[in-house]
Amino acid sequence: MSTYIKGPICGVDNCRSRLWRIIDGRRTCQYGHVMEGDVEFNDDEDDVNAMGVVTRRLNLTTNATGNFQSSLSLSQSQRSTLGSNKTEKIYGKDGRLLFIKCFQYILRKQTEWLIEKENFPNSYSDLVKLIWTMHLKHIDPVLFADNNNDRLNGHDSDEAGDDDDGNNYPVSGKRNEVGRLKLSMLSSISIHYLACLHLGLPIFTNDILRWICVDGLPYFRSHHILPKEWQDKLPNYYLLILDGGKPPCELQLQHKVAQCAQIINFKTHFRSVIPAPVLLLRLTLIERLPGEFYFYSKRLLHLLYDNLEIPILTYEDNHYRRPHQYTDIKICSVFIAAVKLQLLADQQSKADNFDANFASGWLNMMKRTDENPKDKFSKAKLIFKMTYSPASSLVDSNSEIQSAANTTQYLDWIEKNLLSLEETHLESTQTLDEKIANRKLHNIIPLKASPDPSSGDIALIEDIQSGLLEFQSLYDRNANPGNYYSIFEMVDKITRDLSLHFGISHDQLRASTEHIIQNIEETM
Amino acid sequence: MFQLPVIDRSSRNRKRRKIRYQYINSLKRKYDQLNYNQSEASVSSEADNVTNGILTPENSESSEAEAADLEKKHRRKRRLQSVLGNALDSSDEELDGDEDGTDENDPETQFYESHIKPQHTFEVWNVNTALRTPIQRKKITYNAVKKLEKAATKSVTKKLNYQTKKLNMYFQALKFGFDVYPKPQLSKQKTMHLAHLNQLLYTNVLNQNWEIAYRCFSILIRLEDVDVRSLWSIGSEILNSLGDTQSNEAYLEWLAHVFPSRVQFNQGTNYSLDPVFRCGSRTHTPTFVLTWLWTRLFIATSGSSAVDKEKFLQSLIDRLDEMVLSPPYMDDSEIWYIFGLTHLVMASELSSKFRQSKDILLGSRADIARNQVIQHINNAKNCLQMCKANSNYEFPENVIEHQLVQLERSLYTDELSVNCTDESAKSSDEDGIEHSYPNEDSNLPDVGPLDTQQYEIENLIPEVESAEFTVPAPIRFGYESD
Repeated sequence: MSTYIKGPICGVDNCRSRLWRIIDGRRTCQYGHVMEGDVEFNDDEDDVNAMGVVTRRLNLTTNATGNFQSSLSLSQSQRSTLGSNKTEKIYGKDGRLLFIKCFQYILRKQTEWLIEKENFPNSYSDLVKLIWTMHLKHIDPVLFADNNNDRLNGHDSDEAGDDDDGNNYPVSGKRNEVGRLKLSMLSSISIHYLACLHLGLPIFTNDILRWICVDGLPYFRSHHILPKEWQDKLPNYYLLILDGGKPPCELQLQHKVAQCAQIINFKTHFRSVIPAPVLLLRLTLIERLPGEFYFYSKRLLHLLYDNLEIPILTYEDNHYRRPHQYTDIKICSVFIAAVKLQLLADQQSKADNFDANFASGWLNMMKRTDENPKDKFSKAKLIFKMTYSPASSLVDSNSEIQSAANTTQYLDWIEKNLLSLEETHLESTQTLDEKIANRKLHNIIPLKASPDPSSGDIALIEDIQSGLLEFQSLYDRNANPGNYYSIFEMVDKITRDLSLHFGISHDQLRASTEHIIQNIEETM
Repeated sequence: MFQLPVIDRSSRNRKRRKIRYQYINSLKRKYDQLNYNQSEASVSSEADNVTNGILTPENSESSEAEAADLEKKHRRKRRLQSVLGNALDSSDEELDGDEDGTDENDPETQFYESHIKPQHTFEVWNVNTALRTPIQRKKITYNAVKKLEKAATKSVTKKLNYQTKKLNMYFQALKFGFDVYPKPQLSKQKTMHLAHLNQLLYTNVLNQNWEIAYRCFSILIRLEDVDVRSLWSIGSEILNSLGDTQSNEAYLEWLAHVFPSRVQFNQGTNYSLDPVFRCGSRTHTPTFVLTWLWTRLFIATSGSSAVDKEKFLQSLIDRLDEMVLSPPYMDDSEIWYIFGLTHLVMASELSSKFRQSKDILLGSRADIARNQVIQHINNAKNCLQMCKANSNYEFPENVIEHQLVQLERSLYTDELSVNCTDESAKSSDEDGIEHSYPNEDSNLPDVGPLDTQQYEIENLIPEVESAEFTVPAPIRFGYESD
């Protein structure tokens, strides 16, 4: 309506206007003179279309920088132009090769992380390399199998490493075995675990889990650390594998370790025994139990298996074994059994110091440390809880998780670990507009660190020692009289804690412990 | 427990919604049939009214218009194709028909088409007794319900047969009126933490731990999947409670800039979150824009120095001036109302300034200052007029007009030279204002000057005053309009 069209000079009353517009179908000049004899027939829109003229309305909006942009978002309009030369995903054998490359890349990053952050020896990388090469030997036939085989093409191998539902594989899975790469993010940490085992480092599955869930060993969403070209080329189902997904639970990690060990014939080539005393000592410390329990459990283990160095379990198939068959779970169960039996015995004989009163004292102490975690392991336990238990269940139970100290700890952790990873990822994926807009928003709402910056982690031993004095009163004979119930409560609490640390469900660990106790009854 | 501020685009959700609306639609269709038959049988006109009541007349009109539009679009498309030289194959035509068919068959769109949009029903309080509709007291027999359910289920089962067991169970539960609450389970690591953060945010807001809530909020908006629009209100509340009005205003302004309402709102798209609070459309002002304007007005009125206030108000007026030119805002009465109020406050500010420096200003300078006030008063009147014209938006019109009149009159107190202040009348008047529009007064502590300025006016009771001033008022305003 407001656009003028250039035309002949108007000339009415010496009007010099050349600009015309149409008001109510009449051609009107700039100064309001109506052109005579100009009749416009509204000929429907047929005419317009017959001329092949298509009008389009451009909806202009301003973007974050204040420039005009069409209302089709920038990405949308660019997609058509960029779509053609966008890198294609590669499938089939090449895709598989690329996937293995990516996996190797992540493995290397993980090794670097371990050497840098956890002060692993430099020779560690050689060992990981060796194990990885042996693992590759298994992959070789899969990778270079003749392509006549239909199953190998396409994304048959996408479930190769996806072990989440290992139980659900069809029984006739033997045929599929050929097409499987058997790689997942779990295999990467299994390789690390096996390497640590060979080197005799005091590393157990709980440490591995702690690194990935709490300390930021590249595991979750690890595809973000891959080079950009690789990310673009890798098919989505492989990216899904590298994503990590759910945190390992219900024996998944132990299962994968067993499989992985079988694939590379770990037992024949490497040292494959778990030094049980080290693990028992660790458990005693984590649970803040007196040293006596270490000796009790050690003795019990010796009585049961005549050996303190127990070889790991290995097998090839996809069937999960009973929980107590996995070596580290077995040792945990023995530990819990030892605690339980000792407490019950002392309670019955009414002579010794570890009776129900001790149990209730211990429970009180644990409650306090849970509410305000100071050392590395207690903090890790908090994050573990947050990682493994759904948000709604925590509200229902309304436990110590909601305490102010815990919330601050948790937020600190999120800010430090999760957010930094997120920012680096966003940096590479956002468009310029989004970046500018978000930067503005982030300036308006800056992150506010907690008022008292946590003074680093206190070593576990120091914390236990300082706690000794602090919690002395709790263990007073008469401070909290307990009964049988508090013993069971304590055992349950230990089971719960350890199951969290080792990535298995509470029921599994309890069943395993019960099995061990039954075993003891039978043998003795 | 709390809804995640994440847009869920999973196909499972989509399927669920589809089956749900399909069921509802077929139920309704059957019910209409049944009802129609009954009303045919019973000749009473009342029953007819009730049946018509289900479909809002406006919407039926719009759907007709839509149908016409669709037809037009079809024709245009076909013509375009013929122009472009694409011979019209019969297959092509079929294909087109199919496409449109799928569009129309989306049960959700269908459902929403026959209902008033949620954005229209949101917080509409019908105070007017004339608009009240009687409660539908129509009864339906148990057998009829069973029959309806059976028919509706039958129409859905065909589709359900191809769906997963889970979806089937979901549907069964839904049919019996249960709400399906997902079992808390282990999900992806990031989602777990997101859920925890979200929960911490809400619980801390609940316990009024604003500092911690702020931390949760500031972390949440930095995560990739989180949509700020689904959190904006809670974030604004947190900032407000922390006493950080400046950044609250900046935050709301950011929202208004980054998510303008020029994007067409597509009802058919699957939004898992309620669109009403999250975005605007061509016909619907986003709520955060309104909040932003109100906040800005409050900040402007609570400014410390007079110069600051004036600057703030002027910038707000400029801003609003621009805004009311474009679609969603130009029809929105609330925007006009805010605009009018801003002018009112501005007029009050200027007039108080004028009265303070009355002795210094001489001759034409005084006239200029006076004219400024008059201009704002006139603008305010215009805005309120627009506000009234647009729709049945209700606001304390009398109170505002009364204040405007007061302001106008206060400019000529010298000429009037009447010194009579009736304290009791004034206080009663103030009470009246608070009653009629508590929101404005409680939130606008500095509107106070409007009333507390020491006008020397003989009588403040509006009725009397309007009667008295019918004659002199036009004379006085005659020369200003020149």
